[in-house]
Amino acid sequence: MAASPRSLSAIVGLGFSALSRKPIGTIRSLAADAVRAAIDDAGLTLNDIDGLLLNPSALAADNALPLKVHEDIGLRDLALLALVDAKGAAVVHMVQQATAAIRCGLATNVACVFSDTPVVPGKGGGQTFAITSPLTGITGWERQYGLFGATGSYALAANRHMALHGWTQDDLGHYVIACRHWAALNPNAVQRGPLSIDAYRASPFVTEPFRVLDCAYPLNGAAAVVVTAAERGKDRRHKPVYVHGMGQGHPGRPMLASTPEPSTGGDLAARRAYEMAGIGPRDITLCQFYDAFSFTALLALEEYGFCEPGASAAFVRDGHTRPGGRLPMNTGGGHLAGGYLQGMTPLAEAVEQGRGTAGDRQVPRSGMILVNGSGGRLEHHAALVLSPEQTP
Amino acid sequence: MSTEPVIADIGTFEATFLEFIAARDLRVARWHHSGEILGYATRAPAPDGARSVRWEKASRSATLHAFTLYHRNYHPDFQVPYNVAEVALAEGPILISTVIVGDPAELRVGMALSAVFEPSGRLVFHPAISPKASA
Repeated sequence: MAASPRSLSAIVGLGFSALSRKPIGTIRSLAADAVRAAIDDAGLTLNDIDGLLLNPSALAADNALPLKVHEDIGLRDLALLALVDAKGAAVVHMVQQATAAIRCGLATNVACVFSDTPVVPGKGGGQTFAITSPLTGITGWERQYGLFGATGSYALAANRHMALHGWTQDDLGHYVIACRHWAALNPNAVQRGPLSIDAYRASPFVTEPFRVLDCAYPLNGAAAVVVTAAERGKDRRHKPVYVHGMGQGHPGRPMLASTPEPSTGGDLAARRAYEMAGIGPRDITLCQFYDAFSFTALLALEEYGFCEPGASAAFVRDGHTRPGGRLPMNTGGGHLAGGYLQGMTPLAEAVEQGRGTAGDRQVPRSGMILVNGSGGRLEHHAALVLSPEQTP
Repeated sequence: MSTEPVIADIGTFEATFLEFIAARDLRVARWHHSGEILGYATRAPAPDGARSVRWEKASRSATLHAFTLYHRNYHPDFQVPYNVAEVALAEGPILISTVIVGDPAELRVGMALSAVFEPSGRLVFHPAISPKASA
């Protein structure tokens, strides 16, 4: 493995609120619960925290997670306090911003929290996310065609990629099945039962090519991490997980048929994160990808340098991302089977794996862990390279 | 209806496009000085600072870039199943629209399409009829 030039920061705390498909509190109260849990997990006190970054869901009501939540938590005299909005990439952004703030001396210990309550009585999580998707660039254009929800806009991207590379519906199904293999080993996963390809095929369509089982399983709840300086990481209660590389990608290309495909920022975020860590994709031994839809994870395998364009379907179908495979991926079950806490789902699982506390699903703690987040309709990407080992 | 190109400032991009659409006139945009085709999300001046956009009549020929078939009802205005499509105009820009077909199984990425304005003014696409088929 190539030597990492330096450890940039350390993730030393991980905490959750209650998680449920039922009403369990407000976005604000759940966020406070998760931050307190993360601070306690780090072996720190409220007085030790001088930074707080907040990531409400992009679909949450305005001011659902206000800056004043720091008063609910009991945090005083903060040196850093901000909302972070970058769609599905926002959790990774928070860790990146916390790291930058710590390294420049703005703050010392920064809590980062995501909180959401998408599942409400009489309304499924899918309805919550069913806003019009602005793809064309003309305000309100998509409304007249009924392009509602991320399920529709991502289905269009999936359909295009599948047609270009000759994928079948079952190619998505094999990814869903791989997630279930991991979820069976995770006592906190929400979909732990085994899944056959026939059962996958029986799952009803939402927006072709996506079936219900291709879509994230939303949860009400919050999760938080505490980020500190790399040199302070080893002083904490749990083994730290170090940040070695960070990258973002926002290509900003209008929709043109001549645009190279796939036109997302994943390759940009990957290249920058690998370069900062002084590694390449061959040094990554574990991936935690933002997989709100089955297709998203398959595409990430290609954009982050693990498969040639179109080759991820065969890679997953051949079992390389399952338990025992050569590139374990989304080891908690991911968004589909582990539960959808947006960017916190992959980050929290990376922390568990880096600490070595992932129980039956624990993979060898060697090599580098890649975490990504993506949002909009794949046009915003952010990535972290993590590992349990500190480098000078 | 005039077929002449119209020159407009980049700052009025969206309003200009929608005015043409309201007149049932599908246009594509190019930088006036370079002729480079623009996507419909373009808002910023050209890298060299140029602001003039030339709006030309579109050929109305297109191909199906991608599609999805909705099976879940998200809004009472749309009864499932219905399709939403990314349509690539022959000139290059991609629009969200829908393809009017009797059977969604007819939809294929890459199929030839033609733009049509419905009586309501909504822009939709029909499968293109090849010269051989129409002969």
